Amino acid sequence: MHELGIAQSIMQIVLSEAERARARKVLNVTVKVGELAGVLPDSLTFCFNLLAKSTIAEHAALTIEKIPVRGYCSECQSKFIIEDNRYWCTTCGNKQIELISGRELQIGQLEIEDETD
Amino acid sequence: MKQIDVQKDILSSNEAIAGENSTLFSRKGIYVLNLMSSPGAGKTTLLERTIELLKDTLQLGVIEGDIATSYDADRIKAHGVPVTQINTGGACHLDSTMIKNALSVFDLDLLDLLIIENVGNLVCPAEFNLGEDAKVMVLSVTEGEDKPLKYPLMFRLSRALVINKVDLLPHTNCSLEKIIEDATSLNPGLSIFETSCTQMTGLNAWKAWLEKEIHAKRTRSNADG
Repeated sequence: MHELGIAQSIMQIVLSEAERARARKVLNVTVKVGELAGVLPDSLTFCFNLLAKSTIAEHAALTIEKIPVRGYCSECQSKFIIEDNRYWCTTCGNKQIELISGRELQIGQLEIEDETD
Repeated sequence: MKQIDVQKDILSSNEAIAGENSTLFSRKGIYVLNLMSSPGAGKTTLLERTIELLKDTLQLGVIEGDIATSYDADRIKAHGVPVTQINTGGACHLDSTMIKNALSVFDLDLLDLLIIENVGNLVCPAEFNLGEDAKVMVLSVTEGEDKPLKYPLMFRLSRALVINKVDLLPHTNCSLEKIIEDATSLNPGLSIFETSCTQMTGLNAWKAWLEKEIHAKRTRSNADG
C-alpha cells in the first residue's frame, strides 16, 4: 500500500548515486525487500517505472530480492528461518528471540552506463 | 557498464529525521506515543478517554493524522487539549518529517505526553518510525481474531495492544483468547489491555501503564541532564 512512497525514496537514492558516478543511463537497480516489509513486488515495480519516466533511469530494470524472516535465539545461539508466523526458536522453543532479517528495505547495487561506455 | 555498490536503507532519510525528533523529545522530557489501528477500531475514542483520565495531572498534546478532514482534531479540541491535524492527502501513513513540521504549534517545554494518532491502516504505519517512545496498537474485537497473524509486523513492533470494544464480544464470533495467544506468540513482551471505551471498562490499567512509562522516561531524561 505504501509502495509509491518507497519507490520515491528508491528513485531519490538511485538518481543521486547515478549522478555522483556520472552515469548516462541506469540499467538495473537491485533492491532487497524483507518478507515482513509488506511490500508487493508488482506494485513496487509499477511505481518505480512510473517515476523513472523522463529520467536517466527510464529503462532501468528493478530486480527485487526477497529476504526471508530469520531469528536468533540467545538461549541456544541457533539461527533459523521463521515461517507461518512461528516466532519461536525451532531448536529449544524459546519465545524471546531476536529478528535478524526480514525487515530489509535496502538498495543493493546499481548498474550504470557512464561516459566510458 | 559499471556496477555501484550502494547498500543503503531506502527509508534512511525517514530514520534520520525520526532520530532528530526522538532526541528533541528526550531533551524536553516528553513521552511520545504512536497510536495505530485499522480505521474504526476506536483510536480517537480511546484518545478522548485517555485525555479525560490524564489531563488534570499531565500536560498533553495531540497530533492527528488522517488522509483528509479535521473531524478527529475537532473532537480532541473539545477537550481543551492542544492539537494539530496533519492531512496526508492520500498517503497511508505519517512520516517523521510530517511530525517534525507539526511540532511548531506546541510549547514543547510544557508538554509531558504527546500522542500521535496515525492514519488508520495496519500495514504502512509500522514501517515509518516517527521518533516515538512506543508504538501502541488498538484492535477492536469486531475486526476478528485473525488480525495478529495477518499483520505480524505491527504486532511485533508494538509495545502495547489495546483490545477495544470488548463489550461487543457476545455479538461476535471473535475469540479474545485467540487474539491474545497469537499476539503474544508474535511479541512475548506485549502489554495487553482489554477495554470498552463506551462502557468505560479496562481503562484504569491502561492509564497506570501510561503513567509508569511517562515516569520512567522523565527519570531517564533527568538523569541525562
